[in-house]
Amino acid sequence: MKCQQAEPILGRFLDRDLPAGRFAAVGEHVRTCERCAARVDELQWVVAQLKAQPHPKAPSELAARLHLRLAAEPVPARKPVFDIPRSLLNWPSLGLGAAVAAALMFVVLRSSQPSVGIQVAAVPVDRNVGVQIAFGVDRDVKDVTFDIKLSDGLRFVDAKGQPVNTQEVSWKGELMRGKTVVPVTVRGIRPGKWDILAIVRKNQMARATQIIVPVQGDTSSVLPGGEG
Amino acid sequence: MASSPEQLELIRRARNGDKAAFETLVAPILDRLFGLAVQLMRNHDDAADVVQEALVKVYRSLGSFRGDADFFIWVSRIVRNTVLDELKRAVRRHEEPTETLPESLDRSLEGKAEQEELQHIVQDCIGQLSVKLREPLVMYDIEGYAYEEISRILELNLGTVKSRLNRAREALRQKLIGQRHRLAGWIEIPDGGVGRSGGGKVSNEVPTS
Repeated sequence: MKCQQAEPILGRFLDRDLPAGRFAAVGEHVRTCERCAARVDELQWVVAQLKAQPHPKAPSELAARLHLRLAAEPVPARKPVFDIPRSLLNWPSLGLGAAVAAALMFVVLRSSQPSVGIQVAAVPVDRNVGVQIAFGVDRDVKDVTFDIKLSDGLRFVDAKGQPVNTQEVSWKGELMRGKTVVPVTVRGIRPGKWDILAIVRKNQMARATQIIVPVQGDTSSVLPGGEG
Repeated sequence: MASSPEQLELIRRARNGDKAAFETLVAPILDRLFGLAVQLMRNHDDAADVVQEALVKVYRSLGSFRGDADFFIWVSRIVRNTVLDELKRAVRRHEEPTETLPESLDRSLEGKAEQEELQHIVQDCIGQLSVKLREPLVMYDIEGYAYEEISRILELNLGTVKSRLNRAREALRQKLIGQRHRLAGWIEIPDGGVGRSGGGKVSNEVPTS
């Protein structure tokens, strides 16, 4: 082993964090190379000084200050406990002058009620629209799969408010008791009545709700392939 | 490592607004969180402010805490992000950190002027490192976080954590060499370096992993 191969891993050699073969090779090199041996000594000294640094304790008044701050805090908000793709959580895109609609889907996994279609206000073609999809359950439910599917005339939009070709997203997470709201922004790329299908699954159980989005506009403004 | 059943119960109560449960939850980790903030910020008062602010954020965010995650790691990440935000604000305000670390010297070291002076010098040099290098160094070598914990807090892969730690130690070594005039007189300094000369005193025992 040469110095230039050994030097970048001398720290890991010190920590004994190398595979046995490499550790032995570095050790052999250090035994025969005065320069690297000195470097190991120095690093060992540096690490010893770091480990000897004082560990300050939190000042006693910190707990008291925290207590006072918390006194003014309301009950923590219940938030979605899942990783929805960040690109879809893009409320800023509403700043493009989009119409805002809200649809609430209450999901009771144990019920056998049929799916319900909810129609939101009509939006112009080529405009973004924010839709709030609310998942409501009467108890915490773990290991849930969420699916949101768009029909042909709708597209999800990216963080810059531009439509992307994705028409279906799926993720796993959990639902906490009460209502969990997922804001989703979509764009109508063709006139028509399109729908957002939101499905939540747990084992063999599933509930789907359809949100109908009427998109208005003349056919000359249709964006080919949903891009633009 | 996931949170313990006791922690999960306290989290459940805190989520429902039980602030005493939240305070009980964070009390055992307050010193470690403060230590991390002090080492990154180089100032006791700022560190206390940041930890307090971060814990309020933690309380507000309890609804989004995953039960299968490690509560301490999650909180450490929030403290670290709050520190970074504060450091950025300080840069915008053109503030220089005020060195206050010697205030915290362990009682057993009081009166040991040489030891204090050495700690001063090491702290000075740590303070000159970029935050990117300082983070893994103080977390691993001073605060005792494991590689995996650092990886999750900094959201970096293990290889990057180890590589940055190596670079940080090397950078610190170089800076201490630059301070050899301050080290002279109480510690032997071989030509071109700090510490004792002698030749790689790492045990030859081969690691099993």
